[in-house]
Amino acid sequence: MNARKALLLLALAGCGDEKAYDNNDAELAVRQKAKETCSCLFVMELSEAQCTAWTKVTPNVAKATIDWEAKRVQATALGLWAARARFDGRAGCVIDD
Amino acid sequence: MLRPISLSCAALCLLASAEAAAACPTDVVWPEPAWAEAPLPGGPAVEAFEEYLFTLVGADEERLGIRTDGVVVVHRGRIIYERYGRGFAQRNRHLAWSVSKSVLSAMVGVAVLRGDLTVEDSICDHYPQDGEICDVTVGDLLDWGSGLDWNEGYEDEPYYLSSVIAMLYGVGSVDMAAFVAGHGRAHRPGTMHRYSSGDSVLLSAVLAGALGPGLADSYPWELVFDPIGMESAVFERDQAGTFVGSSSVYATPRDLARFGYLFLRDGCWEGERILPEGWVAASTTPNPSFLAQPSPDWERDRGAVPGRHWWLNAPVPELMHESRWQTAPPDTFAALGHWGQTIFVIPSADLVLVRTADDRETGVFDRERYLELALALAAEDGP
Repeated sequence: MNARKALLLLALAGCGDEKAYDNNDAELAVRQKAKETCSCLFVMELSEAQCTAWTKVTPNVAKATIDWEAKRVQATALGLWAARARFDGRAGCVIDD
Repeated sequence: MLRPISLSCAALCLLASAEAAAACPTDVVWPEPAWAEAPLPGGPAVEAFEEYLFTLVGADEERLGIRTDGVVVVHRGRIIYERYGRGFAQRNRHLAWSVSKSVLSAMVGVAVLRGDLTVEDSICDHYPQDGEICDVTVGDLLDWGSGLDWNEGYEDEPYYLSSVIAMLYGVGSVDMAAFVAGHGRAHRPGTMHRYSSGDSVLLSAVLAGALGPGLADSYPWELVFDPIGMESAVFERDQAGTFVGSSSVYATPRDLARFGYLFLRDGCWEGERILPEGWVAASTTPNPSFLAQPSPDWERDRGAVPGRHWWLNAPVPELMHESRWQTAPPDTFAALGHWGQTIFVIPSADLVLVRTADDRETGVFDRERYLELALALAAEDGP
């Protein structure tokens, strides 16, 4: 892990004594962006503009890249995190680690 | 001490309901091959309904106010009102969010009718685990009463604390059911209601195990979607192949109305029984875990009453609770999902109401007002 990533992790991850899961917000954001953009485009069959609006979350750090032919979506954030999702017919979209 | 009492109540409710259940109705309209349509002409009730549901405020990116994407109103088996907004059309599937939980409950019902499982079965009968949570039953999961330690939080609290977000997008997303089952125990099963998307996902895995590998990939369609003609239905899975029963059904509003209509007609379709006798009655009765102890969240909000993966308008005198939606009859029940997804079923009005939406502003949509306006709409169609 490089220093930039470590700093971002500290900034984005939660602190405190409540039960916390081992995720940071950027990691969640790319996975949410990839999966929900895929579902929005290929299951709900909305436009790219509609899906950009539908999938917007806070922090809005993730950007989606769409492979229309393969029906896959890759999302990236801050040049450090990435996630992919793929469309699988009536089973919709699934995160594809 | 509460556990045997809860189980007995569940069994008795189902038996009593089964005795009271009538045969499948034969003198009703079925939406086969398609919905009959009897659109209402314009009038004050239609205008008031539309003004409430389809008046947008602010710029779209501000996500303010009521943001309706689709509405289908089915009265006496015919669509009397249908409209779409915000770029949606009749052909677009919509994410149902937690309406999916009610859909899943129907799949469990069909499996019970087939003899694949019972509500009294231990989850470990069908989803092998170590012994720690084997006292959880299928019925406990249907009641959101597993007792597993779960934080049902969404966007309004830190993501790292939310069990749901961890399950859908984080550390739990590869194998969601295993993630849920790995949570510690907060209560003994059946002794307290605690709304949990985790219970619903675990139920999906238990159901798949009961049905066996031959149906594990196809049961939503084999058991429910195909028999009632939900041709648009999509049901997403996690990477382990478990259907995400908490939140991942997509369908058009017209097909979601088919699902509501199945419950309006007591689990029958075209005169044939799809769900066991008494299943709808048990689904729409305050559940045993809730009656044993409502969750603190429910005590705070005094919202709709949980049935078995459904939400009820029924009063609960023992909790000094009146109907949540005062403008609607007490027999009203609903499948409710995030951002305003709803299917309301009102048997005494012969009415199914489907609304898909993108309400991001918390609390802006007034379900009581919506029900009042919808009932006025149906009244214009006659009794």
